[in-house]
Amino acid sequence: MTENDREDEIRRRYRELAREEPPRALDDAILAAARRELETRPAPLVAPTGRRRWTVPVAAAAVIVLSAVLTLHVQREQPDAELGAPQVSQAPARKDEAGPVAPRAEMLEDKLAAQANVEPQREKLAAPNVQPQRQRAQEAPPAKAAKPVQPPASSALATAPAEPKPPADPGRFSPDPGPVAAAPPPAPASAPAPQMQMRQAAPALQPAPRAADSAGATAASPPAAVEERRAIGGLRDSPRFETGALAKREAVAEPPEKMLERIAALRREGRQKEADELYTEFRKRFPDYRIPEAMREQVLPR
Amino acid sequence: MLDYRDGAAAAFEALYARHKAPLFRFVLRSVRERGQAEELHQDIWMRVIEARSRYQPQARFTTWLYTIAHNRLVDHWRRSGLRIVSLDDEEAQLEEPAGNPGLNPERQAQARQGLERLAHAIAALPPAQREAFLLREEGGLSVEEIAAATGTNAEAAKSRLRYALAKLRQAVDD
Repeated sequence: MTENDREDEIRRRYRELAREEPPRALDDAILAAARRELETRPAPLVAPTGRRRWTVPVAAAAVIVLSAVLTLHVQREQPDAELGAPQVSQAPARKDEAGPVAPRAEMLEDKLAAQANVEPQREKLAAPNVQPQRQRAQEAPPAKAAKPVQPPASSALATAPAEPKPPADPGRFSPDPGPVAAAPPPAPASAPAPQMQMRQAAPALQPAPRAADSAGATAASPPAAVEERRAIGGLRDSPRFETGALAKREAVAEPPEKMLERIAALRREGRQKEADELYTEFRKRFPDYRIPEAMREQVLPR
Repeated sequence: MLDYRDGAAAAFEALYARHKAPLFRFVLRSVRERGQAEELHQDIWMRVIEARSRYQPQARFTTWLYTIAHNRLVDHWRRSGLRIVSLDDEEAQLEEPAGNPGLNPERQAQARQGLERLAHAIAALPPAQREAFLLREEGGLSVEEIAAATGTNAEAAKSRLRYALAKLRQAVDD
């Protein structure tokens, strides 16, 4: 008898021995449990197998990630869109379509027209400050060629200029323009001046060298007048009326304390009218802000 | 099992009918008492039922079933205080706690007959060898499937099976 035969004999005997079975009650209990399981948890519609098991979780994760990215993208773009919207194009039709920008542009024009009437006075005030401005202009980034006078008619407010904007010069956006003023503005240029002023005032990134170049130009040069007005300050230079994206952002972000400091600085320099206008603007934006006692005397209109 | 997973109650009934007896005998010959065997038998099938929704046919159902049975037996031995010296030790036996009787009367009666000698010999096998033999005879598992169900390799499973048959052969021949 070979070994395999003996093993087969063992198995045969075992099969004769193996007759035990579970009791019927046990069978019933197990089968009942199996049926209950089906009642409590029905079968899935689609039984995923293999890689398909991960299809739904991966898809859900992808949707979540994509949504988060899109949300962040929209949030980042939204401030830019809001700041960019007020920019008025060169075409008159687009100016009308500028929506909320149009009223501001008109207000700016009106104000600038009103300002034009007091230009001679400002010229006298600004005259002593031409030299410091020239010095500051020289310290500015490398000069750029002065642009030719732009046609006034259809170019109300320039959009983002074609030339690449120079890097922001913090000094240019300082709320306190300091004692520097531009060259004497030309009185005869009052007619085209408002439009030119609007154009020049629109982008807050006007390069200083342009002012420097125009400062040396004739009195009839509109850019110089614009620069002077900007240097003088006032409501025109208020970020509210500047259409540059950066200025808009600053306007929105300028806290009340900052505005009060600007007002106080204007009063110290004797520029009461600008201080009053800025104070009016301050009150429009922060009607309920309580001015500290220490600042009241410095900022309140006299 | 796939049909049962998808909601067919009759599929489970067929599955149970096919495997209930071999599994019961496997458990019965691995524990000391029939009551414990019935309890373990029910416990094993409840685990099969609970795993219905996540069942994946990565192996034969039989292999999966006896893997559950093996794990359940190991838990039982540990919980019962039975110290397994070594599953692979040919001389190892499940050390009984003090006070437990030896073979129950049913097994003692069986021992008086030729077949009883075989049963006695099976009960006397080391746990690992006995398990390998029963998985082969009751579950119809191959050497590789025995290795998978018991968490070992094919060589170890083959060795256990060989030793078990040799001892049983010796017991029958005596």
